[in-house]
Amino acid sequence: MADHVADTREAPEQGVSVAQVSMTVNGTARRTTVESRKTLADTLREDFGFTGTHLGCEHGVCGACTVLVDGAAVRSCLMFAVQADGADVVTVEGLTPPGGGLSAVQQAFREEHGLQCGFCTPGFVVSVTAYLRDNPAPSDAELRAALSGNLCRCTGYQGIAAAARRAARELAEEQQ
Amino acid sequence: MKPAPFSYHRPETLAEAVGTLGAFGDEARVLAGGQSLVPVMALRLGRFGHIVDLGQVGALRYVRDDGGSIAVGAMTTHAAAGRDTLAAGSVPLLARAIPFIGHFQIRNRGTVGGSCAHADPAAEIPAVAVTLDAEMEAAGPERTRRIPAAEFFASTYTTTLEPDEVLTSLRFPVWQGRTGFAIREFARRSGDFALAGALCAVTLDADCRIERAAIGLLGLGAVPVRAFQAEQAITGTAPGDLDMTEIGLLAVADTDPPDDVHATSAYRRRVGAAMAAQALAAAVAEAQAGTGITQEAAHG
Amino acid sequence: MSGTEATGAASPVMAAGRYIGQSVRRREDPRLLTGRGRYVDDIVVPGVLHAAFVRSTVAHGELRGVDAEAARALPGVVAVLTAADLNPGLRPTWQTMMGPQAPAAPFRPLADTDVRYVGDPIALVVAENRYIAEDAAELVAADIEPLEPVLDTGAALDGAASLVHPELGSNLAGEIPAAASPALDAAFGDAAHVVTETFYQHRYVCVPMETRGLVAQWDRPVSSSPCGQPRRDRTSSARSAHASSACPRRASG
Repeated sequence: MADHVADTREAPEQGVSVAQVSMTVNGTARRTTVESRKTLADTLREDFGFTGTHLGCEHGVCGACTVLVDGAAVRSCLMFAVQADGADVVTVEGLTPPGGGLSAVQQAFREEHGLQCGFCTPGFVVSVTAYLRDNPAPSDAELRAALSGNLCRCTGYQGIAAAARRAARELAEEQQ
Repeated sequence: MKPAPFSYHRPETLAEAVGTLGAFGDEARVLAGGQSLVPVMALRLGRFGHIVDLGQVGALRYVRDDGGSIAVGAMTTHAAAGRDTLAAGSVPLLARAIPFIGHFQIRNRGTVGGSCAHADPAAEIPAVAVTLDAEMEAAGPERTRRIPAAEFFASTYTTTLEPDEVLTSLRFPVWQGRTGFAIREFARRSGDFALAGALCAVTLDADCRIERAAIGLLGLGAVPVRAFQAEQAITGTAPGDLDMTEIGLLAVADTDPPDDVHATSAYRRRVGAAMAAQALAAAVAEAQAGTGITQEAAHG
Repeated sequence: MSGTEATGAASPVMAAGRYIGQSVRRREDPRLLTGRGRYVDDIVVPGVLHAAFVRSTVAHGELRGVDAEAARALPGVVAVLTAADLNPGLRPTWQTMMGPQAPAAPFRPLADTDVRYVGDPIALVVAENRYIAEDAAELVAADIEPLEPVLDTGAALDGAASLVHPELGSNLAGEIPAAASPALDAAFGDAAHVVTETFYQHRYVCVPMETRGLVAQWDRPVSSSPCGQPRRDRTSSARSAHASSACPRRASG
């Protein structure tokens, strides 16, 4: 790991303010050089061109920036790219099924009108995808609690909750 | 909102981390899960010239039996601790508190050690530590020391860790016998910091009287506190003789939280009293149902 | 509807058509669901600059001075504009539904003599990226002497309060008289009981998750986020383009 983090201008014990980072993003190995303070969210958007991950609050409250890091749903505005060095990152762009089209979660959001302006949507889709993968049969109360980490201003949440319920149902049926 | 520039360090061992902290003193800050620290940096409420990322120090991620206690490495995420079967069986209060911490995305990165080092007055892990008389282990350049939870939390966002110390683990004692545990907290929205909360652990003796009780409160002061008066009042009593509402009021009697935008002092105490009453009732009910911990289960 | 029942034949206006009466699926959803939306911050313009505002942290105060020297000296900073740099080049533009004589807050892109609310913009920082723009914003020193703020409508009109906008000479923005209704007056006069109450309603503001932003380019249409209105923003931006003379680089931003 240490050899990914290099800045020849500074003595290593002083730390680095600029570093080269490598990570897998949506299945492809990517590499870039960033300031140590550059967030994973900004790096995904600017350095790697994955603008589907959005910035709403930039302090970990709204969830619009949610991505998967080594399989876990996290707020990418609360991670520095240097912390994701060597990680496997999946953004909303990486949720498209191999044959194209929409994933079960994405399709459910479409059917249930779970989006309007769409800005919060990638964060919800990534969060719901991860949550249902780990919790395939949630109660309604559990599902609502799981959705509470993402904020939406347009929909009033009912379409989103309906989409999550629908996705849970359809994914469970697929398993049978 | 973007953080100010900093020098980034990524030690691979605890010794390296301690050395870096020692070299930079107050200019350096440990980065654990980042769920509390990075918002502070993004909002520029705090700035640190040096950030020491413990993410690669794998030796700090574990849950293990420590003979009478369960030791949880400081870099163990809330999510990992919450999934751990040893922790769930031996320290049920910890497992039950974790789902109240923020949202699942936060729990995937936030750590038990980071939560304690950050020391928010409404945080759950510090409250569990204080309720169960946990021990915090801290590594410094010269020595490793153990700090009782009651002495670890000094004030809001302030612990008794030295600038060159790293919190390495939390040791939670395992309660034996006919035990019951519960946490109740109230937040306006799921995942918000609680206005007030109560954590309760009880043990019943062979006559089903309360042999031992611990009542911890969060959100009602600068640090999590124990309701010692209430604990003493109920020890030795038959639970059926107790008026839980009265005990709840007794539990918060010594607290004096400030008024703020979220709640008045009086309201927080009112909520705290209700939470204490509910937590105690639930813990007692569990103990009465006989689902106590035996020595065998702790090793299972 | 009654026409339909009476004649037994559906009125053409009422028949369900291709769209009317149907639940029509949106066309944009597949794009938005797969992260291919095009929001303001997604628009890539080579060489684009980023702006950050320095804003007042007090609700009312005398603005004695703004020192932007350290901010201007920061590498990556293109310009730091204060009221003296920006305001003279701009002409007021605002919207009202109350006609040309409607009262309006004085036009002040950047605070000059005083600050009038928390968030009142004091300086505009333009830099190569948002990180640097925020670094520079922190270096701008605004010397503000706090004054007593006017915090509610009652206090605003009691005569003792200071004027929020001295130029207007009053804290009363305007009065909209209620329509005369003798019948209503009589109803109140004859009522057995009349109850009066004051209700406090929070201010309701459009706060989309995207927040607010726009990308402006010389001689190009303005792209703006929700709650922006492209035509108005274009007009405002065109007037703001005068400010570009204060910026050494005019090519974009």
